[in-house]
Amino acid sequence: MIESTNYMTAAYIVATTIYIIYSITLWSRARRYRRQLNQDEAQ
Amino acid sequence: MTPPPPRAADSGASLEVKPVLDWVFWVAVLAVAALYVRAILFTPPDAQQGNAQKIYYVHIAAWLPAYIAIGVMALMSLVYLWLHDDRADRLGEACAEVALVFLTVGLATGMIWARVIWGAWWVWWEMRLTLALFLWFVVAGYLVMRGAIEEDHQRARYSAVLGVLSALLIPFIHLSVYLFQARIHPMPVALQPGKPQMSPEMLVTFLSSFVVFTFLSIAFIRGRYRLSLLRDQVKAQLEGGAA
Repeated sequence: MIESTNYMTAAYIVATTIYIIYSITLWSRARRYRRQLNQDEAQ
Repeated sequence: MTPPPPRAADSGASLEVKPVLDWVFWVAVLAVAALYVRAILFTPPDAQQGNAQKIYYVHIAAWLPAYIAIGVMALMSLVYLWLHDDRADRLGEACAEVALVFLTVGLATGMIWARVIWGAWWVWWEMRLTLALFLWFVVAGYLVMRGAIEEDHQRARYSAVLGVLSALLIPFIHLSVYLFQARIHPMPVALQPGKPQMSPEMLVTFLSSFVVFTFLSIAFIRGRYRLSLLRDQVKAQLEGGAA
C-alpha cells in the first residue's frame, strides 16, 4: 500500500473549497440584488 | 403604442423571492460533512492505492450531479425552444452554472488522483479526460455567451441551442473508455458483475456520496434559480424606473 494520505487530503480540501466559494458567490450576489431592490424601493 | 407589461412569470416582479441558501442547502452541508467523516475515518483504504482511493468518493460523485445538471439544462433548452417559457431558460442557466462547479471539482480531484496513480497530473491522449475538459469549456462558453448577449430572447434562444449540443458530449465521455483502445483511465467496476467487487463499507460510502452530492447540486440549483428571479426583479425595476 502506498502512502498517499496527503493527496487524499488535498483532493478533499480542493473540492470543499470550490463548493464553499460557489456558496459564497450565490449568497453575495443575492445580497447585492436585494440591496439594489431595497434602494430602488426607498427612492 | 405602449408595450405590454411583463408577465409575472417572466420578470419575477412583485414576487417575494425566498433565500437562495435555505434549509435544503444547510441539510446538504450537514450531509456532506457526515459523508466526509464516514469516507475518511470509517471506510477502509484500498489495499494498493492506500488513502488516495478515497478521492473516489468526491471525484466520481462530482460527475453524476454534473451530468444530471447538464441533462436538465438540455431538457430545459428544448422546453424553451418549444414554449418560449422564461422559467425554462432560468432553470437551464442555473443548471449550467452548477454543472460547471461540479465539473471543476471532478477535473481538479481527478488530476490529484492521477498524480498519485499515473504519476502525471494530466494525460492528453486519454480521451475521457480530454472530452471532459472539452465539456467544461463548452459549459463555460455557454455561461460566457449568456453574459455577452443583451437582448433577453436572443440570449435564451442561442443558449438553448448550445445547451442541447453540450449534452450530446456526455454519451461520448461515458463510452470513451469502451470506444478507444489507447486508454489509461479505468473502466467502471462498481456494481459491475464479473469485475472486482468493492467491500460493503466502500460500496455504502460510494452510493452515499452519489446521493449526498446530487442533493447538494439540487440545493445549489434551487439557490441559483432564485438568484435569477432576484436579478430579473432588479432589471424589471430599473426598466420600470427608466420608463
